[in-house]
Amino acid sequence: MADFLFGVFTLALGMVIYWGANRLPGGVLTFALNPGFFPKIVAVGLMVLGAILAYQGWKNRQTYGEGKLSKELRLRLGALLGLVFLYLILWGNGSFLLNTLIFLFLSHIIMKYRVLPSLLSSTVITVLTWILFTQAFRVRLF
Amino acid sequence: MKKSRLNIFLLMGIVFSLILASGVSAQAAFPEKEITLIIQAAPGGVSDAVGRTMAASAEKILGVPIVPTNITGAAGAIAMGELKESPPDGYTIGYVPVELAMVKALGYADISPEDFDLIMRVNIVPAALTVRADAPYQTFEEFVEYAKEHPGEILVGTSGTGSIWHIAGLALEEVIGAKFTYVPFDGAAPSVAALMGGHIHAVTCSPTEVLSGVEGGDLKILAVLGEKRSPLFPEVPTAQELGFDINVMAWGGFALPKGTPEEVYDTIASAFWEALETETFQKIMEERGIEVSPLDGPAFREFAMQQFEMYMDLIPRALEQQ
Amino acid sequence: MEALLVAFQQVLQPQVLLYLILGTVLGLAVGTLPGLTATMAVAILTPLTFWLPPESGLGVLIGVWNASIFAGGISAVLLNIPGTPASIASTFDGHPLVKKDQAGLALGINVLYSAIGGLFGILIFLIAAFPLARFALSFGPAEYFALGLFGLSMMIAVSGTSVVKGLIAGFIGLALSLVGLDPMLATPRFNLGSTQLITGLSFIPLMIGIFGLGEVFYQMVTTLGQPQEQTKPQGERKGFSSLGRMLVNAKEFVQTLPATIIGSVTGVVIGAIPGSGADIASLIGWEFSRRTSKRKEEYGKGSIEGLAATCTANNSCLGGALTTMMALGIPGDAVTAVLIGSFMMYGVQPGPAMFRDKSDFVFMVIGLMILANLFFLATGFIFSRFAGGFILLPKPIMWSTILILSLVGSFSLNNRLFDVWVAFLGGILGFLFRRYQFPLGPIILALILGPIVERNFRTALIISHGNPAIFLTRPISLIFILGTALALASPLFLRKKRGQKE
Repeated sequence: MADFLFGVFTLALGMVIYWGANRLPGGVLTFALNPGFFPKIVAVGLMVLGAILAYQGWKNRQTYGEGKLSKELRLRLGALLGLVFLYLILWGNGSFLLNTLIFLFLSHIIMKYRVLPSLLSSTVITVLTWILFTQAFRVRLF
Repeated sequence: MKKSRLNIFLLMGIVFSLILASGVSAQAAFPEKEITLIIQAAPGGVSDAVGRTMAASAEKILGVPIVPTNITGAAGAIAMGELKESPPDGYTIGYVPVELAMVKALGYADISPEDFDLIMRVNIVPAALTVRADAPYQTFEEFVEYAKEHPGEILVGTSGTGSIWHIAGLALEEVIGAKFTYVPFDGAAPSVAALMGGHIHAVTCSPTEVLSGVEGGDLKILAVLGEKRSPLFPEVPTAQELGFDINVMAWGGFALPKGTPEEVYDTIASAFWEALETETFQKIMEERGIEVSPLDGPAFREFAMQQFEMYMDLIPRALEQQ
Repeated sequence: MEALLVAFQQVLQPQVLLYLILGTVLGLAVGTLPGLTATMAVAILTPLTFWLPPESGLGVLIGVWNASIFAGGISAVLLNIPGTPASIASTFDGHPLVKKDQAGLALGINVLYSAIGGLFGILIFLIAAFPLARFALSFGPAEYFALGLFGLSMMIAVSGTSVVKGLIAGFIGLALSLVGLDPMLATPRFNLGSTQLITGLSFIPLMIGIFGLGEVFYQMVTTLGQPQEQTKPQGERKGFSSLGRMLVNAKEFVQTLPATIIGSVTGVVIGAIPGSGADIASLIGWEFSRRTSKRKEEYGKGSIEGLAATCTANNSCLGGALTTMMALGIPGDAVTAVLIGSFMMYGVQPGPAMFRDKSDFVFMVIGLMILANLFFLATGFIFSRFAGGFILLPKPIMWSTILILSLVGSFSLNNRLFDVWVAFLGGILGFLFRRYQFPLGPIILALILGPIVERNFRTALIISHGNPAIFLTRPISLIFILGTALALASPLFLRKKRGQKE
């Protein structure tokens, strides 16, 4: 089923790109083709490939990665993605060291690690990362 | 566990050697914390060289570290946008290149010199017309003659459509009354490589960028398209000397966000002037082949506005022509 | 020979060696960590080395450069995350080798063959700097286009089980590379009206996301999903020795000899061509050696030949890039573009004039390059062993470290938070690709080569005044186009053959 959905998605993506490419202003430059030329090739490629994959996916409905993810794993993955998202949203607010420490600690927990070593490990990683980037490479974090 | 301890130990070692390499600085009065210098180009180019050298010289005078930060993208529009939005407290300074006067006309972002408190202009980079040494034209006049006789045949490499060196080509075309075919490359260096390889006929970039090729005998500079001769090639005439009214150059300077308090502005401006006049700064600029041509704040402002108006007129026409 | 002796006399001073070692150590760190690239390190160190005498200052820079390109292979092999773009191709065969419990061998090949490639590159510089540089200049837009197209045809070879999925991955890569300014007319394309996107998605954050973050997400899901006992494969339970032997044996050395030669030559030539660097060199080197190998089918599944070819190619590329830079003053890749600046700071203008007037400087650089290769050869085995210990850490620690390095690394590249978001989206994409078995090779190929193909196709047409024959009348271009056609046609032939057998 996944393949079918991916096929349909690819097909749709191709259509969107084709539509976008069609709206690009045509170049007046005599020889060098216009800006939409190459995007259109890509779009057509996507549409054709998407259709093939959708067809193949419909014919043999394959499942991947030893079946569906368990509920727990989906939860953990969702939590991790949400954590990264939150970390990036909060980037620039508060202090880099504190944000990162909390971020890493929670990520350890999500990854099923024991609390105490998690705290230790996230402290070490935070400090080392901070030293490496701000002191050695003079990157301006926050 | 032994292994991970070993690893951490090793990492520590690396980190400390890095710290040693970077060095640490002290603190002082007005500027009481470190200053960020936004550079709009990737490390390695002229903008970066001027910015970093200025940071290194001025931090000794101001007594706080000045940390260069390269923010790239959209021909510098991202960096200048960031500078524009920064709090006007003097702790964020930006390097502003000729694109300050161009990005609005190019349609990349709504930025003009009026959005900033300009500190000073530091350097200029004149355009120059360079051709292959084995070309059928050996002087600027011969080139003009040839170009008029062969409209559209001369392939002129540029560092990208709408870039300053493309504008230089367009201005030249207009002033000599000829028609070129432009070949956009991804930056000046690839266009010079294409010229040396014989894939195109001319480039209109800076003298520094063709220096090696000229010294090696592959290339020949016919004219400088700026207002004065290049110190690198004092024997090459300017187009103005030959009676063609053209003046295209890239330039760079420093700016603060609009609304910076006067005393902060003055402190920074005087520190930067002092830094500019130091022997080390001058020496590094000379070694890098960067032409220092300073203007103070008000003069720079006037100059930038004049450039801005020129490009607002030139660029839309240029892009249309393509 | 005499010249070489002079070169060594200049650089064999305790102070110079010290700085070279410092550079090498820095390079090992920069190369191994995703998000820090050789270009960035050399650029940032350049102003700091200005205060040193040239041989020491360049010692640091050349040390960093050589060591980081080599060390990028370590993370590519161990973690399936290229430390620098130059080692993307090393993930093709390096990581499968680790999965086959041959981590030591893979790391050892990376060290040894990187040094072989590096030294070969310098050798070519020594004996044929000017002919090579001249040849590189003959590469015009038509040739670049054909080379890029040839590279894109590799999509099929790196597709794995499903060619359709491989091609979809590739075309999604092409679609991503469309975002930004049109290369010819500078018309903004697919930027959704945003200034942030006007010059496109940054390649390195995207790569870090797809390989680094995507790998972490995927590994977490698969590892935690397995019953506890099986989480640790055989090798990881044992101590340091579990990496296994690192040195290739005589038989393997002979087996990889053709790949080594092909990789070295490809690397040095591609390095010399202005505007194409170690990432392209190692991809093309891999493909060339695959095409000529007797054991094609092993490529991509842990072939020591494939790994040897990529490792030699990305390091011999350095010699090639340096050749064009020093002989003509035109940067051969991104790092040499920065190095030109540091040469100039020492009052030396690269170009033919330098060989005439400052030949001692030229030989000094050669001496430093050779020593840098020998240094990382000597330290690389030990360093790889320690780095190998990283994958023996408890998984959550390893994943969290990669997570934060990937995020901060993609920020530090351009100091843009936007790039970190790009990496994050890349990570989700990378996860989906892994889980639903889309190969990652094609997408990276497309991101690197797609823009080259489009730009040069159109540039070539301007130069030829619209005549498409330019692609077929120029010999180098013709060869690559024929090679591409062969790549596209061969799966059909293979299928026919198989069909007959059945």
